[in-house]
Order: sequence, then C-alpha cells, then structure tokens
Amino acid sequence: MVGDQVEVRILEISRAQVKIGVIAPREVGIYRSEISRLNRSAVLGDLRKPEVKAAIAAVRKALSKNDG
Amino acid sequence: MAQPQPSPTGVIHFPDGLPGFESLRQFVLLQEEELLPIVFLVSLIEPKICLPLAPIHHIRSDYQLRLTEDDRRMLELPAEVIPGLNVLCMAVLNLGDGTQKPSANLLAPIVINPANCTAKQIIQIDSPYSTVTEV
Repeated sequence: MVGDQVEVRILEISRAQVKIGVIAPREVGIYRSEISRLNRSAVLGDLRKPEVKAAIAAVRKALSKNDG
Repeated sequence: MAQPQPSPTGVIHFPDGLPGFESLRQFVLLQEEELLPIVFLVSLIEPKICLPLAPIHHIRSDYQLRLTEDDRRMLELPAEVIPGLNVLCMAVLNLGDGTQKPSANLLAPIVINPANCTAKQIIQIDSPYSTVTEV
C-alpha cells in the first residue's frame, strides 16, 4: 500500500518485465503530477516575441481547419 | 462556423487552485478578436503565468464532458450542462517549442461557470482522452 488509499500490485512477472497495477479511488490524483507538469510547460513566454506570436498563429490556423 | 461562447469578464476563481500553481486562485480570461478561438488565462497575482486555452469542441466536436456531483456542486452548475452555453469547457494548449508539435490537454479540461466565474481543471478519469492531443 501507498498511504491508506493507494494499492500497488504486481500483476505479472516475466523475464523482461514486471507489470504493475495501481488501484486507487477516483479521488486520488494519480494524474495530478502529469497535469501539473503540463500546465507549467504550457505557460507562454513573452507574447510580444515573434516566435510566440508565430506559434499562436500556427495553432489558430490548425483550429480553424477543425471548424470545417 | 463556431458559435460565440459566453465570455466571463470578471475575475475567475479557482477554489482548488490550478494544478502546478496551487496557490494561484484568481485569474482573468483575456481575449483578442484576431486570436480567437484561442484565449488566455492570466493569473491576477502573477501575470507572467499566462496559459493559452481553446474551446475543447474546436478540437473534438464530439467531446463528452463528465462531471461528478461534487464538481457540479462546487461550480454551482445546473443538472443539464451544455458546453458553449452554460459552461465553458476549455483545453490547455501547449504551443510546442519547435521540437514538439502543438498539442491540447483533453484529459483535464478547464471548466468554467460563466454565470458565477468559478472554475476547476477537472481530470476526466476513465475517459479515452489524452493529455497530449495533436492540434
């Protein structure tokens, strides 16, 4: 057990790998560290910089294609 | 053609903070017409924290948002939630850095109630969505 809510089980062992399962109630933030990391990496730089403006324009163009 | 969404003009309050910035709870949503549908979530206290967002249905038109009762209660949302009408369902965009392609986080949308300007980033556990969906 990890704490009193998260259980880590060894599901399968083979020569080359160990398969591990994590059992946790929905409210445990298994994904939270990944979401935190992604939010931090999504922070924009200076909006006045040409490369930031270009990146925004490229994404905007891609989104407008999705609108069809 | 995309329908205009309700646009909260006040300070948006995240009671749980934002993952990665848990101490930041007050944000504003900035938009410039020429950059729509991309809008910018900017921290009131630390304005350099600026995240680009896009309405999630621009990326996946059939996106199914799931809310728990706790989420609905926290955001004071009605029983019938209609993205683009009584709720904003926004994906955090990662614009890429030249080596990585731009992507959107569809697994954890930022859900905003425009009526009371309350928001939460809600992880869609057990959904088929990815944190890195190519735009």
